[in-house]
Amino acid sequence: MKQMIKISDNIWEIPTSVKSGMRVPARILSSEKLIGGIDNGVIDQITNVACLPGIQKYALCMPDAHLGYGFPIGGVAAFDAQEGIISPGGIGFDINCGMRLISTNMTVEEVKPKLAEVIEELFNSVPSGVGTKGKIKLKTPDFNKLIAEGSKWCLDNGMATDDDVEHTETKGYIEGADIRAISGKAFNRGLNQIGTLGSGNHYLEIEYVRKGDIYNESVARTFGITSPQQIVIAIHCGSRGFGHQVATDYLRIFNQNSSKYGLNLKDRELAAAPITSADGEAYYAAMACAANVAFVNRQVITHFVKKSFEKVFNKTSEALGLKTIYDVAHNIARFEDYIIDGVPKRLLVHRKGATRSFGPNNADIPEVFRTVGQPVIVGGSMESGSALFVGTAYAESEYFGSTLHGSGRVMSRTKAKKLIRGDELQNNLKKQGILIRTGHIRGLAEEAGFAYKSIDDVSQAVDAIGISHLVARFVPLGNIKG
Amino acid sequence: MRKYEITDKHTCSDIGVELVADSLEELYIAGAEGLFFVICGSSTNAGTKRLKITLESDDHEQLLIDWLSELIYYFDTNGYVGTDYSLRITNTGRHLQLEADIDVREFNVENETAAHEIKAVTYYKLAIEELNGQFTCHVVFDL
Repeated sequence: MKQMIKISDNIWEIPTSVKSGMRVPARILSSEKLIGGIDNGVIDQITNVACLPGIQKYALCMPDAHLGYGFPIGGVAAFDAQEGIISPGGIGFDINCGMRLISTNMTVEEVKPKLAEVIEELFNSVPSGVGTKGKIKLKTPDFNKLIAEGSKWCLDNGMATDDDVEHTETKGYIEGADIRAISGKAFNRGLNQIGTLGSGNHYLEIEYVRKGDIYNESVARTFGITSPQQIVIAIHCGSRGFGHQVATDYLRIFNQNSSKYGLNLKDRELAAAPITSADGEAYYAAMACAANVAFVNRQVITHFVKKSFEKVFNKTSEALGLKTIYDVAHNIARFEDYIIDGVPKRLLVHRKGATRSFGPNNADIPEVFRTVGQPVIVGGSMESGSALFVGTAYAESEYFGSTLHGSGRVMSRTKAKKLIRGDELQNNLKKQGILIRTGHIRGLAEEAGFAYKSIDDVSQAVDAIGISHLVARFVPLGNIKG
Repeated sequence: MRKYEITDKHTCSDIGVELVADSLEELYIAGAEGLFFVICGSSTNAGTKRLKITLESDDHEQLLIDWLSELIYYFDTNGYVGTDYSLRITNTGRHLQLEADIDVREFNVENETAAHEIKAVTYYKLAIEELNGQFTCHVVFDL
């Protein structure tokens, strides 16, 4: 794109002169290798975001950015808490889709002989795929409590430890959740889905640290990654039908009322309302409910992961060292405080396909991480595995404490299916030592590794920019795919 | 006449349907058929229940989103898959109103394999167009 100005090796800027109505420039954080692959639609979307009222500094694209609805995925924008807007399109339909990483004290050598058994056990205890229901049966008062309390509900119901809750972003709870902001439809869609993975790119994966893949030993140790061959477990999912319905409900309301707020929207998916309006406050309250549901969902899955490992290895989860490293949201809006042009401001930071990246000494991260910064968990494809980064003070001072969330899709599902059959992919992966269990073998091809950007290319860009630093890479051993 | 065609030309992450029909009502039915094809492929199983749906919206695009979102809701909560549709759209003067009678069957999660979970219907480049008595539209589903 001609109007894009290169600021430094990894930063490009689109000035406000490019599109009428832009209040701030847009910044694309990327690399020479990745920047050419940025879709023109992403540029259009991020410059639309730059037009929204109350936006601060820049509208941002992370290195894994790709086309979304309203905001691009990998988009970050912060709005003044008094004068700014809140937009469901800046959060996504899957509210608080996120990643959790669980450490163990087991090695590949110990797990491999029982890999097929543990994968089968996980497949049976964590329902995945379309139309599946969760293992826990909830009555209305329980679900109301769960929505309002987030991970604390799991603690009170024997499905979490204090440590699990402590090692979840904002302790698995967002203040301001109000069930009165939730429709009956959202409630009904969510009621039977707690503890389910869903489908699409969501997964539950057993991974390990390859030799040479620990890039910062001291930080890795702080996070609980101590040696090569160590087994970890990654969970990627969100708020399920509950969050999807909240987004659908409020997009409709915001579109209906957009003229009331005088917002000249360039895209209906960018529907927004002033944060302080009745609609804005209601959506925030509903979004917080959905975020709590997602934290609970990943925690309940963690509970069943622990039970599965206990059953297969005939030891307690404590003896196996199963411990939540951290749980991060990557589709969310949060009130945070930043200094803008020398003035302290409360902002509502929208991260859509972007992860919070807080550096050392931040009071909002668990005490145990304050000497190094927060863990940032990044998902890749089922062939590439995940990556663990550490948050930085630079991300906080320059880019609203934000970084990447994944590797980003580059190929359509139809094309991926034309290139490989699901069973063929499953066999190929088996030859590489990766065991895949799915209820939908044909659909597996849609999630082939070649359909995604290289997680290593994206990681290098992020590391070079300094919005987080790579700590360790994990490769898959077994994967439950929805 | 009505038909739907599966497409992913608009976005590589998700799936959409291109709809063509010779009336608005048929266009909405084509959207429903496309939606269920994306979720669980084709099936010859007959309906076992009848649902009645009434919706009101300010414009045809929003009404289409409301209609398809309603079907996602019934699939997500009850596993209902539409098999036959009777649909009327009227202008009440204040709103556009959709009234539908739908024959549905229950998706059997034990014996059937669904292809895609649809999170939501998007507004992405959504526009219903009419040319020479033919209605067209594309709808993108977030997966």
